[in-house]
This record gives sequence, C-alpha cells and structure tokens, in this order.
Amino acid sequence: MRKTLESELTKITDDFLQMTSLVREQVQLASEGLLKQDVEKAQEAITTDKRVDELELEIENTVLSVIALQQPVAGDLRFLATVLKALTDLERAGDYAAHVAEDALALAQEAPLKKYIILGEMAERLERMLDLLAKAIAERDLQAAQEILETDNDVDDLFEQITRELLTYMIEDPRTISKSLTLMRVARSYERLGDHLENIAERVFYWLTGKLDG
Amino acid sequence: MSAFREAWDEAELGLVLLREGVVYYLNPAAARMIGAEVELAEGKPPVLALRHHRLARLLQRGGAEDLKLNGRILRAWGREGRLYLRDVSQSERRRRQLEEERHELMHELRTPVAGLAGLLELLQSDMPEAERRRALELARDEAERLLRLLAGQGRESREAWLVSELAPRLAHLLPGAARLRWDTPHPISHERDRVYQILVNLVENALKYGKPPIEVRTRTKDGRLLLEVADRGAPLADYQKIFIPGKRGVHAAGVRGSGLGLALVRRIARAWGGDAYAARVGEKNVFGVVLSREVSEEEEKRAENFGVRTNEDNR
Repeated sequence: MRKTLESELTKITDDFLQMTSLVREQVQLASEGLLKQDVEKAQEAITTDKRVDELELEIENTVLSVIALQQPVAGDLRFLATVLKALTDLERAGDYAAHVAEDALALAQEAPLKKYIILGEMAERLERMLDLLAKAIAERDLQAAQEILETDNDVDDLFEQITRELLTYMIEDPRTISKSLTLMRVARSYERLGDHLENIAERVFYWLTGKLDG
Repeated sequence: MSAFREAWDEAELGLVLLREGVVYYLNPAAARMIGAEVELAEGKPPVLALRHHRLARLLQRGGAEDLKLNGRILRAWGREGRLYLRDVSQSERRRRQLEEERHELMHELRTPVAGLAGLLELLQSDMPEAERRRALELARDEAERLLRLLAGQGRESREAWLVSELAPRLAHLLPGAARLRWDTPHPISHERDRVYQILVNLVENALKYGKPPIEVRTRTKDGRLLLEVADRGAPLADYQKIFIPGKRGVHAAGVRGSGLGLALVRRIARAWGGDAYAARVGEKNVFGVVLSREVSEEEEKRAENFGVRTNEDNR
C-alpha cells in the first residue's frame, strides 16, 4: 500500500514539475514575443496554455483519486493539499503568460514605444521564481520557497517603476497613450503572475513546515 | 566501470543517464548547469530530476535543442536514454557581440558609399572642369576615409581646425546638408574623420527625423567644448535611451534606420573622455557631444580671431 502511494506521489510531483516547466516556458516565450516582436514565439506561448490546462485536470484527478483510495495522512496529505491548491494558482499563472503573449501580438504590429527593459527584467524574475519553485518542490528546499517570496517583492517594485514611467510617457506625448495602456496591462499581468507564484510558495512553505505563515 | 564514472564526474560536458524510467546518473557538470543536487536528482523520474520538461523529453526521446535555463544558454542533445549538456552562454554572447559589430560596420559604410555613388553619378554628367576636379577630390577623400575606417586608423590633426571646414564634404554626402546653419567658431584639434563621423550621424538624424532650420554649432560650457546639432523637431519621449544600440525615437516609425548612429557617436565621444547627450532646449531638439578638453582663455581669444565661417564661405 505504502509503495503504491509513494509511486503515486512521485508521479504527481513529476507531473506538477512538468506543469511548472511548461508555465516557465510560456513566460519565456511570451517575453521573447514581447521584447523581440516575435509573433511565432507569442503564438507558441498561447498554444502551450492549452497543455497547461490539460495537465491541471490530469493532476487534479490523480490527486483526488489518491486521496480517495490511499487515504494519506500527515505530510503526504499536506503535500496533496498543497498540490491541489497550487494547481489553480499555477494554471492562472499560465493564463497571465498567455495574456502577455496576446498583448505582445498586438504590440508587434507597430514600432515599439521604447526598449522594454523593465518588462524584460520582470519576466526574468518570474522565470527565476519558477526555477526556484521547481527546486523547492523537487528538493523540498525551504530556502528556495523563501527566495520566491523575496523575488516577488522585486517584481512588485519593478511594476511600480514601469507604471510611473509609462504615466510620464502618456503625459509627455498623448500619441503614446494607447501603446502605454497595453504595456501597463502587460506589466499588470506580470505582477499578478508573480502573486500567484507567491501563493504557491506559501503553500510549499506549509507543506514543508506544517505552518501557514510563509 | 568506476573509472568511467570518475571520468564523467570530472568532465565539463554534462551527462544524464536514464534507466527504467528514472535518472540513474547525473554528473556534477549537468547538475551545475541545471541547478540541481546530484544526490537528490538520482533515482527520480526525468522531470523531477531535471525540472525542465524539454530536457526530460530529450533524455527520453532524443533530439537536440538550445535552452535558456538559470540565466545560461544550454546546448542539449540526447539519444537512447542519454542526455548531453554544454554551457554555450559565453560563445553565444560573443556571437551576439560580433553580430552587433557587423551591424555597426554596415551602418558606418552605408552612408559614405551612397555618397560616393552620388559623386560618381555626378562625374558622369557634363560639368565644368573645376567642379569635376572638386568632385573627384571629394570622392578620393571619402574613399580614403573609408579605408582608414576599415583599417581602424584615424588621421591625427596636429593643427587646429574649424568644424565648418567639413561643410562641403557633408553637403555632398547628405542631400539637404547644404542648408545647414553653421556656427562653429571654436578651433579644435580632434581627429577630422571622427568628428566627421559624429556629424554625419547627427546631421543625418536631424534631416531624417527633425525639422529645419538645422544648426551645427560649437560652444563652451564649464570650460569644456561642446559640438551640437539642433533642429526644430517634435519633442522625444526619452532623450536617454536613444543612445542604446538598436533603440530609435518614437518618431522614427516608418523611417529607415538601424538605431545605431547615436550609439556610435557616444562611443567616439567616450573614447575622447567626453560623452554624447541629447536634450530638449526650448523649441529645439539638441544632440551633441562633449569634447573632453579644457578651453583656455587664450583659446577663446583664438576662436574670436579665427572668425565665424559659414557654409556659404566654404562653398
């Protein structure tokens, strides 16, 4: 019984990491679509979202069936609860990456307003957060989970920074308003994406420590 | 067998081996590139061990791919349960740098070659002998400058000269440059080719994106000499980022250009210990360089004695 449970838990972890890796790829593709005006990459980010959604359902079904059939307790149950809660956040993170890709497609039709340095930095931080998330789960690394929370503060700071910058653009030259608003939506998507990853990190913290205050 | 393992433990090439659906060997180089711990990865299914679905797929199904991971660029190729990894970040960075340099060189060559073609076309038409000789002289000067540029050499100027002396060359090279207003009374001893290169880029930008009248002027500020090109174009959203290679102003949409000119101008100015700048001054967009040198009172007086030459005087 224990052996079956362990192998099921390993499979769930493997699938969850696969989903994390797919979302990371979505973020990277969407970012390249945005920064390099690469339409193909942006479209690939949107297509990948379907696979993320499918995986969410698959993992959810596996988790529920393990809970029903194996009756896990203590740490194992905490892990499954963590995955179940984190799935929704991870799926939403993928949605936000797809939103960025959609905006990148629209922005690719015209000359860029500026070199999107801050947005590039936000995407890099998010990729880092997803790498840390994979590490935290694969290696049960509490420090990695903690680092995700800290990196999200950077994402929030960058969001503030770009919001101020875009406002200045709009005030100085009203012709940039439409593009600036789209860019602001991109920044907002990144910021929300970061928040979902932060939620997952808090759940991982709970799984590893049994405490809810991450 | 342990000798093989030891050898792979020391190798710089990353290696991951798969057996019965789990990773059973991961060498330290691979662990470093992926950001994993060898002990924690071994015995785990591919994604759990490698944390990346593409790497896992290459390990299981084979194929080759370049991936961006943990701030590195990894070249990964796999077959029959084996995955090899090489960190190519450094060579990729070098490749990108070379690509950038190639673009810069193309940018630097395009305008003078177009100018030469124009001069040659002019020489095919009927024209007075004096003008023919002048056009030939300009074409030769331009070709020599290109050769110097390609050889990476500059022509040192020991004697002081006035920036407005470049007006005829510029007027032949860039249509529209004949209508520039020159106010450059300060003699300089900077390399002529480099100053010309700065002016070609600044004036070409002003002609493309700005509005007349376009002025070329020298002035002193805080004891330093400035060389500026000013035009009456619309204000730019950002006067700093236009100096980043590949970055163009908001008004550049629909106008051909590579976004390298100002970056080159800045590079030349910095090589002299100065810098390039851009600013909105009243109704004008001003693009200029600080030429790094102190201007003594004596030189100020010399400037007055040199007198102001205008484009008209140089024709």
